[in-house]
Amino acid sequence: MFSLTDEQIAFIENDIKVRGITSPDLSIDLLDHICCVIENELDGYRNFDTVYQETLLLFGEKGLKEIQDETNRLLTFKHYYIMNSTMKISGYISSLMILSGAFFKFNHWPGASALMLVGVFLLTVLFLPLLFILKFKASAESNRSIALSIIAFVSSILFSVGIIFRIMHWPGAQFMLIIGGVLLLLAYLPIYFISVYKNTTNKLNATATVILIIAGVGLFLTETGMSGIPRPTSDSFWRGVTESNDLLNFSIQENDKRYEKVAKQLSTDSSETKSESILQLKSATDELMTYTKKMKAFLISKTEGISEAEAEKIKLDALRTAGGGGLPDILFGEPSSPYSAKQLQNKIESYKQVVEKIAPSTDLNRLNTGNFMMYGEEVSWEQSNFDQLPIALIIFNIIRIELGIIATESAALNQI
Amino acid sequence: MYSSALIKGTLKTIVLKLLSETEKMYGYEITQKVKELTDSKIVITEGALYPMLHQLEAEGIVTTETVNIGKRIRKYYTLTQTGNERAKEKIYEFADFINTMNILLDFKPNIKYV
Repeated sequence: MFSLTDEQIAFIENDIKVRGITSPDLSIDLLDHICCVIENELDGYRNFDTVYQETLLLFGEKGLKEIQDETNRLLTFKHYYIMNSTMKISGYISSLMILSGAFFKFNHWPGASALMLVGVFLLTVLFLPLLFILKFKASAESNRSIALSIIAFVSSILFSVGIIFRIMHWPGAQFMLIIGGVLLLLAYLPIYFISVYKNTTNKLNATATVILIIAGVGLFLTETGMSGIPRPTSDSFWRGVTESNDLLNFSIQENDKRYEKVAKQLSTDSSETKSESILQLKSATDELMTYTKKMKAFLISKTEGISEAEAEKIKLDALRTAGGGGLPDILFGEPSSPYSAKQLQNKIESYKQVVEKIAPSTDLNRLNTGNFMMYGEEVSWEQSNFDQLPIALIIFNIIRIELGIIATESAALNQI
Repeated sequence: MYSSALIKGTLKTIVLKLLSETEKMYGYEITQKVKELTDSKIVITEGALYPMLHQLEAEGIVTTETVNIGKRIRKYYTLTQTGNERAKEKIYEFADFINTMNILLDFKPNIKYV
């Protein structure tokens, strides 16, 4: 057996560095290994260079660098077991919380929203990121599966963050949910289908998965896009809406007639404070009613995609199948929105103050905007009237509020 | 020589078994020992061996000691306490696997259990 000279060893040591091995730990291993191989192969007939080149071939086509890359991959992956079990546990816990949250909600027990929120939060910050880190590492070979992992990751994060935003009424929820769904349908599915369908044993699986995803996303988008009123109740419900609207118009006319009457009386016996009070009441009422009228038109124009002028003239019956998608964003918190639940509440409160000043003994209970208990949970006025409802119900609730305003106006008129 | 897919899953078991029988071994020695024991039917590639040894070291399954040999350094790998247990588990698991494959494929080789 030959022994390598110090120069030859130094040469190999340097060459390992040149070939991209930066880890000193690994280069010690490789240097000794290469030296051992060469010393066994050298036989006095072949020269060092030839044997060295042959030895390098042992390390595969991609060479020494590949060993270092592989080592790094394995080392950064040493938390695999911890990550894997954290992923599983967080997955179990979050799905349990979401399911029981849904069950709580179904039974109208308190704490449903909190359960769901924590569940979705766990899913978003622990389960999904870990799942995709692990999945990504496992399928690091083909470009297609990398693309698939990234798309799936982005769309599922968008979905779950969108749901959190929706529960919290932060703006942008609808946007995230729709982009997530579209990404899943138009980017993930085609790539997935092509890549799995080629693998003949998986045809049934691929088809089933694709159909399930399309059905799921389809149902979801339908739900967010047009959450209509359940059919069996819709007809009687609709009679209620139209009748309320008729009643509202009738009451407005009645009040106008009363104003005219009072105006005539005042012209004969002139009492300045009285006429001033009445003018104040009329202008405050008109202002509030203009706001609600415009708010209705604005909301209808948003859900129906028509102009506000058209929306003012639309027959309420046309809203039967219209959805309420995006309305939570508009009504809760979106800063650029000209109408919000909070703003309406404030306006009603200041209207009540005006009325109280003019006619102190007027019953203001019809315009109560405080919280109340519903199914054992305290619900705010904004939530009960506007949260997660289809446009038809929101419009109905605004009509109810308007009826309350007109009734209060009428009561105040009696007091003056 | 067997297909790399077959060898890939058993590499760790082979190395752990060798280390459990010998006090300490260096990388080249491991490859040669496997070659010799299996009559060159199983050849451990360098590209698979060293990443795995480094991983085992990071997991605390093996420790290393270095010995200067002239101008170069030789790194010996030794099983730790955990490593010994892991080796036993792995070997038992694989023996069990072979047993199952026996039943499944219905062949009657003369497998000697460890």
